[in-house]
Amino acid sequence: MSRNVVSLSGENLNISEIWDWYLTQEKSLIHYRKQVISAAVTNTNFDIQFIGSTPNDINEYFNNLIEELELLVSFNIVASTEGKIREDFVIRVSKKLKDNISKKYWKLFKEFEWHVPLDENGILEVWIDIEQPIKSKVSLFRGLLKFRHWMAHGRYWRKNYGREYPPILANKICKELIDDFSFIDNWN
Amino acid sequence: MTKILTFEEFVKQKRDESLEKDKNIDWQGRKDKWISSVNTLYENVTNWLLPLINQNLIEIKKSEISIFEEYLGNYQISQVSIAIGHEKILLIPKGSVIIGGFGRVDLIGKNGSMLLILTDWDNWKVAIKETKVKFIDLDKDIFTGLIKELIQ
Repeated sequence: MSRNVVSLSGENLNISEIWDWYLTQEKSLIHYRKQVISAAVTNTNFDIQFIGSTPNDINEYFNNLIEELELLVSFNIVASTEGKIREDFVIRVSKKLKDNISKKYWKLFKEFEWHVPLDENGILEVWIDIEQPIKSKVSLFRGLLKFRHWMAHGRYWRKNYGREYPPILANKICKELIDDFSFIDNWN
Repeated sequence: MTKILTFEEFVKQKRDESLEKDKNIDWQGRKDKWISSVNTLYENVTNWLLPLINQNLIEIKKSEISIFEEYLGNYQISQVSIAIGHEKILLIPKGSVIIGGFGRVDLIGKNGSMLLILTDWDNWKVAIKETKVKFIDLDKDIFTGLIKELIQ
């Protein structure tokens, strides 16, 4: 097994960047929908992609796009949060820091090296051990991880995570988790 | 900065937008022409199939449906069912306010549906969506070809 240091990319987005991107995309879709519907009424300046579409068809088409956008945004928020957590793991282990969390991370590293699990027997369990008050937030985040798993693996099985995760909820869960955890830098 | 409207202001704005749109377009006239064009389409279809209807090989039935369109309101229009043996083909009007024409009728069979677009008043075409949309004039040969494709 190799113990090469993970080279951090610095390309990870933070949640507020993803959120701003989401709002812009949603506004653009709503604006474009309005334009397309207006083309149906005036019968001018239309995109041939929509030929034959009624306003109901157009609304349905754009509602599906917005629904898809929301899934991708929630997914991106969870991925970004995982990136943040793992980045913190890499920094603490690489610097061999001596705080309680870093010491436990080091134990995990000895067992898994850089392939440390996030959830079971992994980083989140260290958090719960050391920072008890964060337990309920980790528990909410675990639900989101099931959603992330479903998305990342191509959504081919029937959803089993019990609830929907619209961007506003994913944002709240991840932001509160990040805000409450003692990361070594002040990212976010 | 965009002003945040009260609910009353919002409702008035929507009413004014509708009045503005109604001022520029004769929606009642459009609805009448649309219904008449759909009836012309049905007459053409019936004429194309008449020899087979007369031999009792094909049966055509017309019935009324109700459609709601934002600009035209609620109105009655005919749909047509074409029975060939146990198979059925339906001609169902979807609405007059569409992209790229003055109305659309869907030709639906068990294998899928095709879009008939009223590209100009009384000028029906079949819209074939490939990489680009292609319009083909709707005539007897095209129509019977579509029927075969939709139920074969």
